[in-house]
Amino acid sequence: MKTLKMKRMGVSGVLAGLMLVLLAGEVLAHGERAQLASMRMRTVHWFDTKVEPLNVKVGDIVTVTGKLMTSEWWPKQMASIEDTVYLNIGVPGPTFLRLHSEVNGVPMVRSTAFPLGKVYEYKTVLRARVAGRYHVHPILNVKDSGSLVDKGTWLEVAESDSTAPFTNEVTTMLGDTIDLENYALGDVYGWHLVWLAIGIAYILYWLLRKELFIPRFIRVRAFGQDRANEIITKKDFVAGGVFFTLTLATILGGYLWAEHKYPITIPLQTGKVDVVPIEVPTGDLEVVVDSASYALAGRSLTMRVNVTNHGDSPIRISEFLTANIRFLNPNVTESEIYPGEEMVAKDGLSVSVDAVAPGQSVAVELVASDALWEQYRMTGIINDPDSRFAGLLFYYDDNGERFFQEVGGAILPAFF
Amino acid sequence: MAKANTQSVALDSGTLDNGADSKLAGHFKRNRFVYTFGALILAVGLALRIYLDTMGFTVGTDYYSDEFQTYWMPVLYGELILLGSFTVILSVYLWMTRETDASSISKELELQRYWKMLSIFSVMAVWAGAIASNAVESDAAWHQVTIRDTDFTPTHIIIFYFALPALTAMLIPAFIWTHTRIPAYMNKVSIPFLAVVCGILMIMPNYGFNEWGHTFFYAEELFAAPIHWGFVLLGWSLFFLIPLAFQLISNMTRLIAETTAEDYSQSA
Amino acid sequence: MNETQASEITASENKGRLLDMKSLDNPRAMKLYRRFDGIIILVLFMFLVLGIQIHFTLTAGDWDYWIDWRDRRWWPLVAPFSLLIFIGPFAYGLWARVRLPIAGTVITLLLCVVSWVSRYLNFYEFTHFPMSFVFPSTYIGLGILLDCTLLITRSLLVSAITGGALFGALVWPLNWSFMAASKVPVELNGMLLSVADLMGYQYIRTTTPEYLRIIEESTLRTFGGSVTPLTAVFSGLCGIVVYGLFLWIGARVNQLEIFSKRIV
Repeated sequence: MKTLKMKRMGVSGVLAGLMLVLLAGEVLAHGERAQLASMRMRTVHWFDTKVEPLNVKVGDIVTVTGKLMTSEWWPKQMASIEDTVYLNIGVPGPTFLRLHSEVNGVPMVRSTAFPLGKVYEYKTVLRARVAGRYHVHPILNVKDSGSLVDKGTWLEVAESDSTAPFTNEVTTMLGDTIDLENYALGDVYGWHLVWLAIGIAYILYWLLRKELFIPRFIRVRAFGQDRANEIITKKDFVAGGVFFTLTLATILGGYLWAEHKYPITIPLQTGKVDVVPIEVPTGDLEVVVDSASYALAGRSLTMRVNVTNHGDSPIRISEFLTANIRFLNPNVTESEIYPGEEMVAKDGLSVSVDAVAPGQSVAVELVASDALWEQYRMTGIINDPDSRFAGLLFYYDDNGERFFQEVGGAILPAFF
Repeated sequence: MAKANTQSVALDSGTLDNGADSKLAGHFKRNRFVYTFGALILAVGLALRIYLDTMGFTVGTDYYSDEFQTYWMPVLYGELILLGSFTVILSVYLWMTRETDASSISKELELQRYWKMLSIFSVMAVWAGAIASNAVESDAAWHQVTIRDTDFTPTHIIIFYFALPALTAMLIPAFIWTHTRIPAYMNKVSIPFLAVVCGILMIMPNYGFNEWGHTFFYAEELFAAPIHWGFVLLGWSLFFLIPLAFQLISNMTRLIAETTAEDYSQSA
Repeated sequence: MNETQASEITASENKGRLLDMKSLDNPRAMKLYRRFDGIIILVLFMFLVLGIQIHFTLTAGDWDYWIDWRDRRWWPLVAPFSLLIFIGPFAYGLWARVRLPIAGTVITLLLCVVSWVSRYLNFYEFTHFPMSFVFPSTYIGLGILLDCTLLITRSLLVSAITGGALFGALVWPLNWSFMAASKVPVELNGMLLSVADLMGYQYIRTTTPEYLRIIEESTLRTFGGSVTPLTAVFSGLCGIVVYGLFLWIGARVNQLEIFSKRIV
């Protein structure tokens, strides 16, 4: 965990802690570690996640971009992303405004569907709204499956220089410029007060009387149910009529008033949009997984794969990505690490073969090993009812062009 | 352990032969019980609320983080120990000191105990209002902006492991006290009271169903989802408040009518 | 106490009841009765607040939290349906035993007050949503209409038919006075949205995605687009049925004002 500020405090009591946390304003947005390890490996592979800039003030723009690939190993027991999915962002409540979001160039105001085994490039433009330190995660909400979370990036949002309250102004199609932060709240308060007043008046009419629960109980019982209505006086009856009429008149009046004030209104808008997916750039490399295992007591995953290079340029395997953890091969320098990026094991991947020559077919052993494996509870796969894995293998040709493809299969624990 | 009632029945510190008015005065004493305990639980509620507001999003979003284990799990353990021991100790004490001879309880003492029962209910009512205005929707707001991780999430630690159990922790001893101290309830069981207690009590076991469902067939934060309707059904146990209230009303009416009657002479 | 029980009351109970009646002329007794009123109002109202909050939030809460959920087809149906379930048993009890036609107003009023407090504390303070996006709806007018029909007709059955129907039918016009503003059209990236939709998009809800909304989706069969009045009529019907049913359940529950010799 990265909340080092908390650790520095030592054990100076909860109150002191409270104060520091208040000052730090540090906010996590997690939950993904509770998800099953195999689910995280076999749903969506997020990569190239970039959040910039990392230090902003309230009112500033933050852009989140990245790519994702939908796994062909999608668990059958989970509702599929091929049905309904929504691009979202994981921040603690509306600490940011989402001004724009798109996938493969299509605006993502609404939900869509992603076929499996395809690549999608997304972009979300945010505007900082509440000061604090946030862990920002791109998220996909998949209908009936829940939230699929990308890794987070820490983002500092400082108070704005201006003391003016935060505003969020938009112009309606009728030409009015409105501030969504307090849009039409005057009407809301006003009408609620009207109804509260009428309601309280009605309640007080009944409760502010000399004879209430017990006396009425005694009288109703004495009258018997047939004559109990005699306890309702003529005055009550008239009051009932007055309140009834007043209420109906106020409902009608309010309705007509609003119709007059807002003559043009539309129903809520919904419906899915379509996105054209991007094919996976696999290059000319064929990868077949032979076997895979992970050390139960350790922090590594070992894969034995058969690799065939059908192209005319040597290929070097640079990275294995699974469950948002990047295991990088230190011998291949092209891989980029973005500012603030987490869950990167810089020399986490060892590859038994340096480069796969054109036309060569070779067995390769890949060992992905880092403390992150443990920290993100990947050894928990032993507790999953479905021990299979998947991940993305990245590789480069001689021209420095990046390719990738998904690998996956059954995975066995190694107990010793 | 059950003891016979030998308490004095003087409701007024003055002499007993002052007539009905002086006897009445005892029923109008400022109710310190309600003020003290009402303020106490509201203070606890307020403290928890402030804790949730400051520590919820800061260190409460990831069960597997060290911060969560430091700042939230001790709260949970503390709550469970506090409420568990409060309920058990008080319930056992009230049962062990129960009274068996209803005939030895005078009408004035009985009426006094009804007022006390209402005081207990008033404290619970204050707490119920606090839960309704604070706790219930905090869980809604929380789940709709954060990703569900485990059952031990800050709003659950407050509402599921403190707020609602605290109501149960008050209801169970109140139920036992009523059934061992008030003649009309002694040696039998009030069905509406039992229904209210059971309904609120069963909310806790129902978390089991709720979380079980969330583990596999229900992943999203739709609050009006069928998986939550178990709580709704249990909330309906409050329908029994009406028969319970009228049970109380008919008993108290008679007692008040008798003890305030002109020709009433104090019973032994 | 119903009539069959009343005919079986014993002589001593009869004497007691006479005494009860006499106590109504006794100022000392009346003083205690009024003290009791104060306490029972506090206790009953506070437990009602808890009950309606749990009940409503878990059956119709989503529509009430966000203005981009308050659509023409589901919200005006779900909200009164949910409310009448909870009002029914209390309306029966308070009418049958003390002839107080207040259950509808009390419950809708308490719900409104507690919703404001709760929205402010939990949605505004705790999770930073602007009040303009999460303000509660009001149902107080419906509660008054329900109670007044009972008061005027003095019949639970007739009030269920008239009041229940009005309660179901008038949700939309009652709330339109302050909700119309959120349905004004805006444009975003060439797409038509209502202001409510735009707020739902801009004010991020991490685990409440757009598709989760249970709202009207267009069909070929909307009878010329007159969704609102059709929903109102159907909601009125549902109001009658569900209120009638829960009045009946209230009657059964009220019969359980009994003691058992032991916990079975």
